[in-house]
Amino acid sequence: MHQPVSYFSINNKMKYIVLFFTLSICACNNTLKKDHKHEYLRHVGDIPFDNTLDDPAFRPCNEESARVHHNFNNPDLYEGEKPAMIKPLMQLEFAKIEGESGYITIRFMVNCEGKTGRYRVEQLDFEYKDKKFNEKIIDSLLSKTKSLDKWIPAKSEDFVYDYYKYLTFKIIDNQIKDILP
Amino acid sequence: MISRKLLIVAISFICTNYGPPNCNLYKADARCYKACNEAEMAITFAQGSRKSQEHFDKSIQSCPSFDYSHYEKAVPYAKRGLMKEWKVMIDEAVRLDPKEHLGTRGWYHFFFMHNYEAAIKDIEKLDSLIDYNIGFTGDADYHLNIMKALCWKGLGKTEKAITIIHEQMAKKDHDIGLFDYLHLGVLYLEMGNYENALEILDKQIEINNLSEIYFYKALCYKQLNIKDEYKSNLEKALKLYKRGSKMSNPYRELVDEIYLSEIENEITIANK
Repeated sequence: MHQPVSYFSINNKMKYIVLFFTLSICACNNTLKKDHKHEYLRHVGDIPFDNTLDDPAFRPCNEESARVHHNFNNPDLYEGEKPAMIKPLMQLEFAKIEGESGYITIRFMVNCEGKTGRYRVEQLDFEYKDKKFNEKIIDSLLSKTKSLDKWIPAKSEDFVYDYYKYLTFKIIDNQIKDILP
Repeated sequence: MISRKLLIVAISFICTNYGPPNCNLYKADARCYKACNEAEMAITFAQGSRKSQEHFDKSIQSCPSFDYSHYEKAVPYAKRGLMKEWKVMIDEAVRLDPKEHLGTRGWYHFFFMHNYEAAIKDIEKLDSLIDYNIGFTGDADYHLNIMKALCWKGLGKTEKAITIIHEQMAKKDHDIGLFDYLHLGVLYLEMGNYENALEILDKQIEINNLSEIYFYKALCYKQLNIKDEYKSNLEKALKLYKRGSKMSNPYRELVDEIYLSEIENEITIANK
């Protein structure tokens, strides 16, 4: 006769073995996740589609070969060059707020038709550490940047590329002092 | 003249192809030798690409004190507007070898962010650490003291900028940079010293015949109320601009760079 105790004992052992392997796999996954902290995109600065942020109507033409603005002979890539690009931005007026200073960078993609999308905003202080500016200035800068509509598609050797572009606003006391780069 | 141009081209070549140090120097330390080899591997891939960054990570993992990999890994972040990431990495490179990396960090503060205070601080710190020439910006466009002068200009200290440029130019070992006279001329223009500005802007022609020279000369003549020269210099500026003979940098705007619309607007004013 089988001893029920020993039967249960074997079953329990199996449970522990299964539990041990499950925990081991979890531990491995956690290690992988930690290592994946440094997992890179195709290229530093790429902006993958995020359905919580991005308009699906904006479509890159050939995302896998997207470049950066400085890869082209005409790096402003805007009709009327930088003065035309920054004019509507410099006209924005904000109330002076002492100490509201640092950098706001808006990164985005321009596709082969000159249309834009995938906007991302970074906010830093002058030590390049995270900072939170007031929503009004962020919303205004983002909305005005999105309204720029004279982007020039980037051509090189008969191929028209999607490209990444960014604008950095140097802000002192909630006033735009500079638009870079 | 030709030798000076060759020198600038040579410096530019060296600085834009900034490779890792001679790996043989690290042979006594297996981990750092491996780090150097990984860095050599990293720069065979496109800057900022996944493979390149991964090789820099392996390099750093193998020898965390290998400063070159911290510095190079940071560069693509700055070029794409991701300065938070750049700063963490470049700070580590500076911590490991301040004499090697302070100049570059200062240059990036100046060029990419117009963070003039931070740039001046880095250049002055570098100057205090070494007793030899502090050298040029990584693209070889400026001696770091000329760049420092442009930082003071950015902070509104025009006279101080002029003084620093003159002091640097007076040094026996100073090689004139690509735009030194142009910037000095524009500073004099901003000070209202138009005769001096014209004299110095003319010196820039010997270095490179840029549209900007004639645009700023035109502004001097405008102030001196010499209308013919005002107009003719604007026409020269326009001609050179259309020929592509102007200041330019792929990573974007240079100090005192001008644009077509600015020349055209000024021509409209001149013709009124």
